[in-house]
Amino acid sequence: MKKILLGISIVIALLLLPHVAYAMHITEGILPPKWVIFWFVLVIPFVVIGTFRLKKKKKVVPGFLPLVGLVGAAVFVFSCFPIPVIGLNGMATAHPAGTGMSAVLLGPFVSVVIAGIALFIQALFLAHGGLTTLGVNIFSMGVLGSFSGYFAFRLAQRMGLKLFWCGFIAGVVSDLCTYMGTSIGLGLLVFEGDESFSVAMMHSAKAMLEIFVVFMATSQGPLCIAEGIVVGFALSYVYKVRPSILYNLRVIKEQ
Amino acid sequence: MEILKHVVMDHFAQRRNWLTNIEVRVKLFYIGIGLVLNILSNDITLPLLFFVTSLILLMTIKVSFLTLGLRMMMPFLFGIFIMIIMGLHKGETVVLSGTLFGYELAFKKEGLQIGLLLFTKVAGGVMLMLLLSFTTTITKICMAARWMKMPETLIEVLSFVYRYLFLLIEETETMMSSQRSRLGYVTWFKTIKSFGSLGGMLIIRSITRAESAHVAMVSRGYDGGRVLTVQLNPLVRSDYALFLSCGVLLTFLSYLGFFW
Repeated sequence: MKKILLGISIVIALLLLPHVAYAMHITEGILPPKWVIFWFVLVIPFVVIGTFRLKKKKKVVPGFLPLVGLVGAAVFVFSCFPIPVIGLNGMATAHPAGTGMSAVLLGPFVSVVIAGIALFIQALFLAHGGLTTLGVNIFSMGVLGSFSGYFAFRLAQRMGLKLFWCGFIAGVVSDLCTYMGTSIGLGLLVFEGDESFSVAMMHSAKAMLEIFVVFMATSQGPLCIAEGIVVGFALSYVYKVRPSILYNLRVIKEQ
Repeated sequence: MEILKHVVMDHFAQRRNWLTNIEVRVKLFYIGIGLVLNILSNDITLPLLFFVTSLILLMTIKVSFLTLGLRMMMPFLFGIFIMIIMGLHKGETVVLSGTLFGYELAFKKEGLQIGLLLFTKVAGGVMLMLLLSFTTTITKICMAARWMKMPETLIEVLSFVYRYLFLLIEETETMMSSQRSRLGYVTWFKTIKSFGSLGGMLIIRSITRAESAHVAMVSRGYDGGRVLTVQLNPLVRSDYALFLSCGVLLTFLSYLGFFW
């Protein structure tokens, strides 16, 4: 029996490894209607505020919309970089979330909108994620990923760290929080209404922890570090070549 | 960057065939109803029906099994993952148990049944989404979104992202091959560093391009208004007939006991 279980686990792990980074998007059909509604209700305020901020900024700075669109496209491409997972000897590649980067460049609310659009395109054209699961995916990648990355970056700046380390921390924290969000979304699936609230929450918390450990133990743990380094290098590169971009986007203050 | 090539699946939607010719609002209506019924269903019949129907429809426009298989691989793996999670956490009747790295594992019958239902819902739902994306361009989806009174700003950003995505993919691939020829990917650290400068370069290029795109748009009369100026044609009799047939189909499925 043990051998069967071990065999099943190894096969599944091997199947999941090469593409596991896209496990950050909960796929279509997984969520029951009550959770679909719950997650959409939760993220709608963030998307609405993000859209209003975009609209307001568009009136003041006419070129802001093309800028958001192009930075959004750049972050989308960035999120497709095939980063080799260290420790697996090049066996697998994983893909960064990219929301940390967009939050640092455009602010967390606009980043939520960008994440929502990227998730919509990925759901339709890559079959990663889904339309009924768009709410939970925006929550994990857009809301948790963007806000955690943004505040981690600002906190690191306040601590007087160099730009590379600020970007590194933003990348690591946003990636970790994105996976935490996905684990919460999936863990809540085992929540049963007929159990008492505390028992149901205990069950869900156990499932969340297990899912998070599976993500981290496969490729996402090393990926967090890799994404942090890539974001750090990317921001340092922009600062070295065209610092005015970072000043204009108010990522750093002009000296 | 292999995965990016899959993004360019828009070319299926650019073809002219009987499915692409169907009015976008009719398609969105059908797919929307299908996705809702899919997540509402309590047994595997309806999700399987959606899966098979969508598959047959896609076959009629000559979409290969390989293309579909590639798109379905990740959702299927996710479905298996969820089946395991459900098997481990829901139900009472243990069908398989053991320990893995000192951790007690027990698969339960009821949980596996729920997992199987979710797996079929994934198959049905994803196939419905593929039916939409293989037959509808993003421009048409944007036009339909505007007709549905979605915020103009969101539609504009979506159009921009999609318009420049392919351009940036091409530029990234060119830069990557240059980095590769200069041994930029020989070690893990060099790879990460190359990706870092590539990411930085992408930001710079995107912002430079945004500036020139804005200048070009202003010179062509853009004053901060709509980016997408094409309107959808008014619905015709055949579109209304298709809407009506959806109602008839739902009544028929309901009569057959698919929903309760």
